[in-house]
Amino acid sequence: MNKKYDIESAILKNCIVAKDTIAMEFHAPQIAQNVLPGQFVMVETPTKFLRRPLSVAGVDGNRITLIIRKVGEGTKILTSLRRNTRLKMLGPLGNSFPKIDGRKILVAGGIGIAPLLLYANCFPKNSDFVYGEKNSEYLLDENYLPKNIKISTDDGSRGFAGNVCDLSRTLEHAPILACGPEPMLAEVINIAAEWNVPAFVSLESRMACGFGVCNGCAIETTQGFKKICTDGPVFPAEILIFSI
Amino acid sequence: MDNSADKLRIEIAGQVFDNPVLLASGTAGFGYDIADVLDISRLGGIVTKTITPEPRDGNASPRIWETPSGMLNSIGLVNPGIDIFIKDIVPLLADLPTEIVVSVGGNSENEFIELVEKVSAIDFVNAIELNLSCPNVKEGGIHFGRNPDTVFSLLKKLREITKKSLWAKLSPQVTEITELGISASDGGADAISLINTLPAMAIDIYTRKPRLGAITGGLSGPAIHPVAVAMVYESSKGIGIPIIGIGGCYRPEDFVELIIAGASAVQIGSGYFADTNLPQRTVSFLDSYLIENGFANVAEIIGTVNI
Ligand SMILES: Cc1cc2nc3c(=O)[nH]c(=O)nc-3n(C[C@H](O)[C@H](O)[C@H](O)COP(=O)(O)OP(=O)(O)OC[C@H]3O[C@@H](n4cnc5c(N)ncnc54)[C@H](O)[C@@H]3O)c2cc1C
Ligand SMILES: Cc1cc2nc3c(=O)[nH]c(=O)nc-3n(C[C@H](O)[C@H](O)[C@H](O)COP(=O)(O)O)c2cc1C
Ligand code: FES
Repeated sequence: MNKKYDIESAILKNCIVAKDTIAMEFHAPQIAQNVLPGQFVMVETPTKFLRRPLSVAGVDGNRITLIIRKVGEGTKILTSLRRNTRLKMLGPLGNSFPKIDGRKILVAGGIGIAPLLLYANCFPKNSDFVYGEKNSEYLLDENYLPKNIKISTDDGSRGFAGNVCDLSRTLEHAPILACGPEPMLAEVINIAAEWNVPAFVSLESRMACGFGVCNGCAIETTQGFKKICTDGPVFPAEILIFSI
Repeated sequence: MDNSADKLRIEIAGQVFDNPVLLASGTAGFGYDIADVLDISRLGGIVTKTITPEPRDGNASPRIWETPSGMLNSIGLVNPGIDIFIKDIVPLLADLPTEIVVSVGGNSENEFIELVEKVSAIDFVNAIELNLSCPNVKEGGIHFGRNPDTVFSLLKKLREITKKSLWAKLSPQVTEITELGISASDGGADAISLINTLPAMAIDIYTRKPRLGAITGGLSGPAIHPVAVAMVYESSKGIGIPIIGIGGCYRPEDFVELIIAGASAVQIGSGYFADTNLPQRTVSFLDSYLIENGFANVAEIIGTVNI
């Protein structure tokens, strides 16, 4: 059982890294020292009752970085907070992406890139990293991206024109680690099946607790119901049932 | 002797709790699930998820929706069923450093009898909470929960088969809470737990679809706190047994408010999702509140609304 820390920490740094997207740094030693790539924190969202799940996207000494995209009310509040605002957060939560020794492909759709950035940082060797956005406005500032990342945009405004799955298909076959919207993950799972390679995908759900007690995030798998917050968020592709 | 510990200690039907701060059913798993999140030895106790006769997978997703000052849930009493509970889970509960109250929920008198019989065989469990009020299972206990005659008759039957302390968790969705509480008490309940979630619903106006897979659910959180205060206050005047207050606590002050309204102990549910340190902070707050306001112990403030 891994200890989870419920801490309060001030925003040390926040900057716009893409359209509607902010990177935030916090001093969070217990989380920074224990977090694994793929894990997340539940972050207080001022004026909202529930915290929001956010992946740890980077670790630097005792600091962690979160990258937050505005998609609704809560993320709108979070992305507009000022430096020095203190927020409670609980973590690290959930399981992590497996360490894979041989070559692998990291597939990121949109803000799903967050946990994969930490992965690429921890295990920089032997991987192709592909990252797709709707258009170039949403692409993260290149200071936040690894040098050799391959980019796709749906409208062709930068990099490969098409979606990130089409781009992935152009690569040499290898196990896949992915995070992004569900339709993209469903397609990643198809690719892995065609290639006959393992795939691990990180899923999202609304969460109330984030630590396994409310049962709000349960999904049905071939191995029965699983909780995204504690059994996941990373699942092996073969147990998932997508209703898309 | 530790005076501070003495001061917070409370007793419900002979059972001693180190302090009046408990975690509510369905929000603390089975206790060991949260040992990596908070120090459960600092709690007065934990009420387990509601156990039903058969395993339940729960309702369709989405199962939660956030509201202004609260949340809706339609979890649907997810649990492994009484037999797996007894075989696989009870052994893990035996050494937990806090009091364990087992919550059970049935669809009929016979189901409740089966559940209470089986739980009564667990020697380290001293109290059973009867979930007579879940809004999330159609057939559920809520039917017993709303009718004074069925509540009386159920409690009377259960009283005959168990020596454990029985806490009746009642629905807030009734016209006369005191009447219902008295029926439970007359039937043989040792305490009343109040309140469960309130039936509630939210709709996406653009798709016109309900926000919850199960269409309706139960509202919890700060939004229901004043309802809980009123129900605890009303019922504590007329019912001669202890009231366990539940509903919308999300600051330490909210617990004290329920105690002053008439609760002998307080359970917290969804409020600690937003701050897992809250239960422990509440214990410390209560301690200083008693000192600063000249009270010798918790019992001195129970039901002391200054009217
Ligand atoms: C494990 C995990 C890690 C995450 N990591 C990040 C991250 O690093 N950066 C980031 O920006 N976001 C991340 N998310 C998603 C983020 O939690 C949601 O975008 C956020 O909770 C939405 O809150 P809101 O109040 O802004 O949205 P709401 O106003 O509640 O909803 C607005 C829209 O967002 C959708 N939505 C709401 N909650 C979720 C959710 N949890 N998952 C998917 N869609 C949702 C709704 O369907 C709706 O379309 C993560 C989610 C999970 C489960
Ligand atoms: C996710 C969730 C699951 C719950 N499950 C149960 C349950 O299994 N049995 C029960 O008696 N009450 C259940 N409840 C109700 C709580 O025990 C409590 O009565 C209610 O949430 C009000 O308290 P709160 O406002 O502090 O959350 C549940 C509540 C929530 C939020
Ligand atoms: S969010 Fe509560 S169990 Fe996963």
